[in-house]
Amino acid sequence: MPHDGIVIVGSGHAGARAAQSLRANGWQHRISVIDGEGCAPYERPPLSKAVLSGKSRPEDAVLFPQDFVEQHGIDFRSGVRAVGIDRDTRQVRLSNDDAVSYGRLLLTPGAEPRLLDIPGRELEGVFSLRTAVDACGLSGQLLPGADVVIVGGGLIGLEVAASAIQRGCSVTVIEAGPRLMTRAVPPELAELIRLLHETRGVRFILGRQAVALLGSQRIEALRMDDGSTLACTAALISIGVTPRTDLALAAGLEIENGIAVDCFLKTSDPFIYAAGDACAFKNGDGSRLRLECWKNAEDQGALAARNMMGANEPYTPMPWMWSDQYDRTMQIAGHPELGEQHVARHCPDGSLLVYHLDANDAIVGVSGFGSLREIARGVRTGQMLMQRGIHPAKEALQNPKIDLKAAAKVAAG
Amino acid sequence: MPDNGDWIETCKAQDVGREDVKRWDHGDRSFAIFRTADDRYYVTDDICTHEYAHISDGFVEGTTVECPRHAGCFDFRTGEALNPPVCVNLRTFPAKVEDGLVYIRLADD
Repeated sequence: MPHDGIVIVGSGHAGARAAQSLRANGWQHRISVIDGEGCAPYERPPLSKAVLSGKSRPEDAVLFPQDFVEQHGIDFRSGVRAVGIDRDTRQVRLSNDDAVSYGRLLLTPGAEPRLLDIPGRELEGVFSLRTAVDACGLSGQLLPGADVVIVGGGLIGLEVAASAIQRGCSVTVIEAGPRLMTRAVPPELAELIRLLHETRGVRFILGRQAVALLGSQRIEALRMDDGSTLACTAALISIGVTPRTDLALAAGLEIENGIAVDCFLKTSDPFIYAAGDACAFKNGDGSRLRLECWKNAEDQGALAARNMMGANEPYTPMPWMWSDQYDRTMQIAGHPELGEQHVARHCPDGSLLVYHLDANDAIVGVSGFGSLREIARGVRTGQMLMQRGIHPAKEALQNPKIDLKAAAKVAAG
Repeated sequence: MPDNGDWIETCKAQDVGREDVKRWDHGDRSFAIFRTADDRYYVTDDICTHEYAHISDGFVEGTTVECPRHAGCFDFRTGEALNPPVCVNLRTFPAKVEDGLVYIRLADD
């Protein structure tokens, strides 16, 4: 067991949870958290929703309970970045010329918004959204009557569109692909979500790319690849993220679409672990997977902490994610992309659940969009059916009058 | 003051599904009335201690309820917060069933 301290680089969700999990599991030695952001660790999901729609502030959703750092003696290095890892002497070099030694090191660097490599991206009024500072800057532009253009019709883009519409802005979303949320969301749901946004006034331009942001100092318009322009007072670039791997790469760790780790979240150096958005882990089938969601950061942060203390539990992800847009919610669990048959269940209140089945009728994923009640219950029931390996008849999955939870209980005995 | 004076009638016991939860509004507050598979009744506050959501919209399994928004779980018998993101316990209230009706008692506050 390492007795010379654990260092966590990054104080986002995975890093903060790891620190808490270490103390909760009885780690009594030093924990150093290298926090590049310079503020108390906070939840990111509210940034695009409650914070942008003006209902809360970033500091309303902090990750650490009050006094956690003092009470648990966390060596919290606020506003200091890690600039290098010396693996031979097991030290992390810091941006303030200090260094901190480790017995085990956890890398939770997170991910960086992907840059749009076009002219004008440095103009005032052009934003990306990742941090509390980003959210506060963008929020200041979402005034009634503002013309907001969102480049990228993914989850973040659509959550921001909903928030901006609710604040009285006019909103246009440009998406290069043929539909919205191609990567994360099944087409049936994406269509339903597009329709909801359109009834609220969002305009979509699909199959077009931004080629230039125009203006002298501030953004005034955006030019698309067909030569047409859109006037705007602010632009959000939300075209995905790339994992932050510089530090790990410079230290000679294995990189493969992120910081490569085994199923125990251990990197190619046995004293160094990784978790969160930047962590590319070995899945059960041997493939490498990287997940960019809250649930993954939550679970990996806690697991990496236990494994650094010697638990050696493999990471078996049960992917689950949510998105809130207007008064509706979307949830996705499991792997809808592996589905070969898609069974829709239309609830009386307008909510849609889709059960994704493989060729043998086993449920591999469940997704839904609608009321919090129907979606949460339907998706949770789907997870239960998946975990217990129960395959209800398609007629039962389709029929909202049939109680699937009861069916799962009966089948399980 | 009669013995039963501070018990408040809520709903019919049979209106709460087995291993399920029903919302009950009283004044400006919402309560979650739980019924276990073996017909025991429990009452908690209905608003999650993490972010705004009605616990009674959540999924009940055994003696736990999962918040519909972010999947934080509570033991509804004690109100104990069981996993992140919830870390603050739910408030619980005494409950009883008499003549097919569920009664709860609000604490002095």
